[in-house]
Amino acid sequence: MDDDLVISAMKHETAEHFSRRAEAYAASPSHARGADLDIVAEFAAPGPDDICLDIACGPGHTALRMAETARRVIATDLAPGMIETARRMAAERGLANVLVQFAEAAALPFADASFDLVTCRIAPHHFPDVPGFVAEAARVLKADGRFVLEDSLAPDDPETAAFLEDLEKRRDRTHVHSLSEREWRAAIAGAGLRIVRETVYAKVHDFGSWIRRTGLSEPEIAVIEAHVLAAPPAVRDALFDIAGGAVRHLRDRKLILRAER
Amino acid sequence: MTEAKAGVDPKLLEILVCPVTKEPLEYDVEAQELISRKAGLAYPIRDGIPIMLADEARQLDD
Repeated sequence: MDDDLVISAMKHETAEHFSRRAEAYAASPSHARGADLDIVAEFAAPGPDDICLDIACGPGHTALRMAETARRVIATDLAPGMIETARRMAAERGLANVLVQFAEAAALPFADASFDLVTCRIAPHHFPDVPGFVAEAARVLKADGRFVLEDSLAPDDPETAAFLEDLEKRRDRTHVHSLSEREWRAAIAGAGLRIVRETVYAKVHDFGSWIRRTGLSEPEIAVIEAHVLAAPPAVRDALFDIAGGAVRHLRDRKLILRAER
Repeated sequence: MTEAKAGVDPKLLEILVCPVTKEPLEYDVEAQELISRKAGLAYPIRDGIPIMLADEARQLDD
């Protein structure tokens, strides 16, 4: 199969997967109310004149937060379930300045220099073409626009990074790749943007709810938990809290940054 | 929802382009499609939401 077909099949699977899981993500406290969302909002600082784009909006947590102070927010996703949920949540909160729209991150249907702010929160690890996505984000930004990104960060230690990436894929077949800090720097610079603010946010996930959010069966979850318990000690210590023979928490890190031209 | 009849939000229409060619689009209100002549594609609008994905677009005959 050629690369385009592989990417197309993967995008389709990702869209279907997230349509089915839209309500789980809408209700997820770590997605709806995480302190990282406050950091994203602080970095983004949407003002009353700002036209914003939120790429891969999911159920709309970030778009809705931006819409509280921005003039208008266009929220895009590939998954019909997410688009519907985002639209419903905007209506429930009385945010008439949110417009939803199907679009692909690496092929945005917007004219050059359309937006004051482009956000993308905890989604690029599902994208088949991250450099293409960052280039498109840069293209649709106005000259003085800003790009605010949050995504899972690959651990620095290669063994830990490989274990976490494999675990993410076991949990979620639509996981593609979490970039390292170095990879993000290259992607941002490659799109002609420079990082002006950044922070790394340590997130602690309750393992039980984290592993259940993607719709796995209990036997599948048991296999994954056994796999985690058998991880090399260095990996286990770096990523997990284990007590009483059970995996209690997963610790991962999110990179949050603001880039400008 | 009422958007189905009202069509696409005019504010959105101002900045929408073809995702393939980045050229402006023609809005066919009757057919509820956004047409990209250069790409030979018609992007459907369902329930007021433009589906700007080349995979989901209709190929133009001419």
